[in-house]
Amino acid sequence: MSETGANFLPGRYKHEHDDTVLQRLKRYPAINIVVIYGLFLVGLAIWTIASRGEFAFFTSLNLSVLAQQIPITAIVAVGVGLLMVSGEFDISVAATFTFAAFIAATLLHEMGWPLAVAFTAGILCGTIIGAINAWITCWLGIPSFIATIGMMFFGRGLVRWISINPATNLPDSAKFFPNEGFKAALTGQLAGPVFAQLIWLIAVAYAGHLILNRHRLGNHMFSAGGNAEAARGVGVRVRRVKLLAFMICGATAAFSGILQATRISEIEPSYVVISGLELKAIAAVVVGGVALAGGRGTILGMVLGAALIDTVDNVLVLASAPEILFKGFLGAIIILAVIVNSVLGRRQES
Amino acid sequence: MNDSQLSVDASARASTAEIPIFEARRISKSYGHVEALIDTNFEVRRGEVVGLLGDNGAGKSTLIKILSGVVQPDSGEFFREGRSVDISTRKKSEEDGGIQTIYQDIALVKSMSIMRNIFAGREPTNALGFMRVKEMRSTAMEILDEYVRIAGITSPNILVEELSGGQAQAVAIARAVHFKRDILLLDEPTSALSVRETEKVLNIMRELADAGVSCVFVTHNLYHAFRVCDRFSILAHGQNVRDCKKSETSLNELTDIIMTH
Repeated sequence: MSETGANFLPGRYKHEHDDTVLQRLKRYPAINIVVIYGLFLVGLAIWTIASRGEFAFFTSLNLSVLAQQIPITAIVAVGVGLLMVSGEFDISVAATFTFAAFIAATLLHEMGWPLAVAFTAGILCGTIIGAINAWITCWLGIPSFIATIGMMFFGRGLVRWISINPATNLPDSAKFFPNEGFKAALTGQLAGPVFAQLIWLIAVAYAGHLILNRHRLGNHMFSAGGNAEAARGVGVRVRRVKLLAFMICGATAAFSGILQATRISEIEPSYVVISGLELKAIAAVVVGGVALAGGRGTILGMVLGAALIDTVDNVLVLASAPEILFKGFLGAIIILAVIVNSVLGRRQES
Repeated sequence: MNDSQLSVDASARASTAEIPIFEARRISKSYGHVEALIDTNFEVRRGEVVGLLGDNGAGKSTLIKILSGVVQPDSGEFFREGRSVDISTRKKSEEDGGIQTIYQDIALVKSMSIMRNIFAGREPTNALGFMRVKEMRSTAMEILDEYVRIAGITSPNILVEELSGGQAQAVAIARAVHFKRDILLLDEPTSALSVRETEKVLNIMRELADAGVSCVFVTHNLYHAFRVCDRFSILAHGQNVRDCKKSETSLNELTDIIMTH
């Protein structure tokens, strides 16, 4: 029996550098997006040079616009990405984002609550929406895609309800004027195009990295999303893991909503629809290498995916392309990701 | 050999200190009008490979599910080294019963690395739940080197989906062995493997048994069973029809028993 080990199978993995490119990409799925985003920026640089500076991408004004926008999307993407790794979707993040900001603004200005309490209540609100999504999905057995579409419309209703101006009986935007210290801490300009929200993004991303790669919960998320039955087999409490993932997703959406409200000092009810944030977040994480079916993904990929999506949006605006083009781009990215996922999946089967 | 003889044998052995490492006595289970198991007995002794054999519908899968704690019997008792145990959940089956079930398809999460798989559900962590990654890495390497010495796998970061069926099976076995289970319950471990890989998995079972880890080998393939098992327990229509050592039987006889019941 001594031969058992020595050549269990001809050594396919003698050295890691023998691996094919595809295998390495699968093991480090963020490589794709690093390359894509890098090439995209190079392309933009060439465009700028070719247009002799007409194309205003690399201007300090434009870069500071991007530096303020990307963290808002990327923080939502980290939550959506962690949830997708765990094997579920959340389509309700734009509603959560907006509703949480409205809650914070209403509690602060209309109810006169202290800022810290209003802020905490906003985050809590997102967390609770996440928990309800989890309950409908994992305990009632409704696919999260459907459950969170329902929550999206319910959230839109909540936003309409909270934003109704009794005088006009129409939804109205809410002002959000927290004190200067709070505003500086959340969205203040630090240096050049660096704003405080970038620091918050780094904090959220690092926390996400710790959860995914250093904490037990991350291991459970990967196994719940990769193969829920196998996960249950080794004692992972899949429903509880997904509950936590939904709650994290709701909390990050709420936090990002409050960041946005702080940055522009108001929150608009129409944001639930016009932002397209739910699709942006999903497109961001799938181009960032998170598997639609779960079980695969990196924080770096989610963040760079969000950066790519916002950069494309920005470039289309600079190029005065019609708005619909961006929505089309988001749709195309998601469809492409579905195709790639199912082709890879089918190859796996055979 | 009928049921009562088996029970007599069991108690006789208990008195002579050769207590089975695990024993299921008089297990019955019905699904509606279908009696899947009728007063079935099953035992495993230390360091042996037991073949659990029988045709489709004989009750093998029901017995496996009961032993792994995912299905509850209507009646029956379980003993680990002579002491009564409760194996009514997967966790109790593993921890109290000492049984690790390795299902063919769902043993490992394919999209995860070998290391993450090995520790899934039992991560070594600090008080805050953060994993001791260094410890995990070195233990994973040790497991890969020591228990089944899977040649070619040099990194615990390799994704399971990159492994061949036999390699993945070996990793699942290595994990179970590392976590100190007395008994491995292998459900059709060879059915999806090539001839060459089957040989290796059979060898691993044999090695484990010689090292004191008992294996329950559930299979349709009598050739595979006969190559590696020390003892055979044959079910038909939910009942024990034969329980014998390898030296007391032959491949032809086993085939006959299964065919005629």
